[in-house]
Amino acid sequence: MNRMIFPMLALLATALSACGNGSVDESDADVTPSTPAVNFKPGAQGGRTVKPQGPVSIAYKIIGTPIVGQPVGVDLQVQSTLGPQPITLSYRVNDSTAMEFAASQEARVSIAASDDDGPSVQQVQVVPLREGRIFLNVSATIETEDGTMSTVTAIPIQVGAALRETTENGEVMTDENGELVRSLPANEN
Amino acid sequence: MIVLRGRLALTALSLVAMAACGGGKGGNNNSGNQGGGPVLTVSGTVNYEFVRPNANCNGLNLDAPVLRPIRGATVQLLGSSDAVLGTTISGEDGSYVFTNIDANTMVRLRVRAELKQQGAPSWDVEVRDNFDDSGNPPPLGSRPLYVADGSLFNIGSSNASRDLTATTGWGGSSYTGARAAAPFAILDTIYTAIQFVLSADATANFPALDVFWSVNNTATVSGDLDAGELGTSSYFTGLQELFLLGDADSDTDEFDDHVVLHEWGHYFEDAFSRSDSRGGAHNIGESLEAALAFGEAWGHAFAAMALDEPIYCDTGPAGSSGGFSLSTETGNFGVPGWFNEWGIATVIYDLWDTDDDGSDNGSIGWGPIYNIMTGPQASGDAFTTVFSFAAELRAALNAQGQAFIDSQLARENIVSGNGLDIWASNETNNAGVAQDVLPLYTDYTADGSVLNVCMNNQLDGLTRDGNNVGEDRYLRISVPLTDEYDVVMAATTPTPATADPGDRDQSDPDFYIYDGPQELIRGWSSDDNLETARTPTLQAGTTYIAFLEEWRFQDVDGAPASFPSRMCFDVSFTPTP
Repeated sequence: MNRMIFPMLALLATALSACGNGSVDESDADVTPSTPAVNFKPGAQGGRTVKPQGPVSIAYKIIGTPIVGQPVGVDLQVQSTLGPQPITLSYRVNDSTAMEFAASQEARVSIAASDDDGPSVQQVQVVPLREGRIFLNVSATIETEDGTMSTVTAIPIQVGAALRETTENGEVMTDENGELVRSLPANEN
Repeated sequence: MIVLRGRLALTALSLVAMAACGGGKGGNNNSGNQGGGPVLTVSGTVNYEFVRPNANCNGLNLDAPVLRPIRGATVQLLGSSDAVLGTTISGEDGSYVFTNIDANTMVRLRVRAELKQQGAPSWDVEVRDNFDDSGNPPPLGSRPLYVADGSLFNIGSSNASRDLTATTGWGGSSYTGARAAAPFAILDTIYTAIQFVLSADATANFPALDVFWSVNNTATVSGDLDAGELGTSSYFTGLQELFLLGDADSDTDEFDDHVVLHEWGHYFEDAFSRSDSRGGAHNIGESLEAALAFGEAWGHAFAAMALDEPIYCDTGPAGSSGGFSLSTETGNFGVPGWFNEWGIATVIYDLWDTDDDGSDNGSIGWGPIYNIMTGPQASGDAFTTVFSFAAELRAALNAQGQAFIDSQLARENIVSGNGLDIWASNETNNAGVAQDVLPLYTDYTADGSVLNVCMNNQLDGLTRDGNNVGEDRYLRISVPLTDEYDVVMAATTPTPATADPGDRDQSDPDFYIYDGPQELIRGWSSDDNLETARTPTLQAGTTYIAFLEEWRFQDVDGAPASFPSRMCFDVSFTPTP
């Protein structure tokens, strides 16, 4: 098998059913880790080293097909790597014209320390207001000996068939030597 | 005790940079005073806006950027048709000067997001945009290089002064303009790292490094680099390619200088030292495979040393208050030991820094650390772990230095003193995992005998990354005969088939065999339950090492939940007939 499976990682919205927590429904098979790109072995050239993730792992699953105007649930599995301890989750929508929270949804939830080493489970209800790839930010906060630590995971919610929106930054042109450059305007004085 | 602090090299490097500046036009100036009329200068500074984190790393303080010079970058003076009239290198204060420019010439400034230096020392860093949705992208190394452009102006009849600033593009609640500062923030952070290395080795030659950043580099999707689907910021070992997040909606790293230099620290290992880390996911506080733990610790410590700032900060999406910070001086997360990336990072940092935090009251400086990383750590017989690093470093220090490193290792519950060796022979800390962790190296004589080795994923969590202690095993192999060897790794733990034909429910053993830093052969097929390979000729009397793994422990999209959490294998090396 070719272990340079980087292309395969696009398929990583797949089963993480080995979460080891009885409270996780077996039907919740397609759970996406919040760090989706990093679990592959080295190719012939070597490995891919990545930046560390914070001390809270978050995996998620979007329940059903998001539709404009209808509430959609996002199941979260949350686990501290520092052992069982309380975790505070805060939810935020970047673009209030694109998505809002369901009426009953609290923006902040406190989770007690779990009884075992398994993840805690929460569900967030949001309502898409337009099509496109919309982001729900989930901030997980814990208290450590070094103080409060917060990690944020941006969960993409695909509404409709609209492709991921990309952003332009400056302008691509060719320089005198025929090299492509991306020209970014600078301020002058 | 040696005290050799990093900033000593600044003066030397400044001299190099200023020599390159030449007080004016660079070497490929192709203009000159052609008309015989008045000749003038264009001078000024080039700068970028840097954004610091808010207190406690609660997001970036985008409303209060600070101006910093773009140091050591290529500055060009372009004519009205974009012909290059002059090229120079910006100084330590971002200054530049072009001389001998004809009066009344239409010109504009361009700063290229590149650091170029030939000779000794030398370096070649370029910041490019990897994103390309054309369907026919050029090779990564030919993707667009970021440049910051000024506007055309007429130099007139007197010397001109022009300061250029690459701004963040932040509009108060979102990015509304070109994010010009980002590539130069990355570039300048790397410039700092280069200086730090030069403080230990003034003639270091840095292999070319391509850095890829894009406003479309997202953390939320992974797979297609052309589409910016990074998943996270990362470094590709062996390719000298560093990718950084820039998607404002998911995560941006251009101003997270510790993140940039953490990954650059991996480049350092790749270019100057060695890393046997497999890479992959790792959360703070986890107990990690030994080589991964050291590699990540090195990235943290290097960033903290080069920036002379112990607080690691990784902010989240633009405009959010998300982020987490960790102190490389005092941080304490998870079970202490040789598998704890942060604990090892504090050891390395505390060996360097001169601040007394109670348990760290000395400093050996950067020089000895650099020498070990570029010497024994790069060429040693064992895998690159805290044991190889610390044992070799300890051997190079005097009694006072040895006592100091012993105290730092002991603080992190890592074997120290005379019991420390590159093989972790006397390590007793098993991370709380009762089996399959120690000894770190299992001894094996390649005489055809069968060794049963087990591994387990007891500590793996939500990410199922296969990177925790116990999930991989090391062998130390002695060879009685100079010969080629048939290597077999066969699962002995039953792996019952599941009802789902899509499951990859059978074991997938893999092994990698090394002669010190040199990989000799790997067995990494997808064959069920069995891996085989024939080695090249192994020399009698030479010690070889092997890395064994159960791929299913990280096969998140294939292995069923019912896959055994502990797997055992019969391993043998048999001389060929």
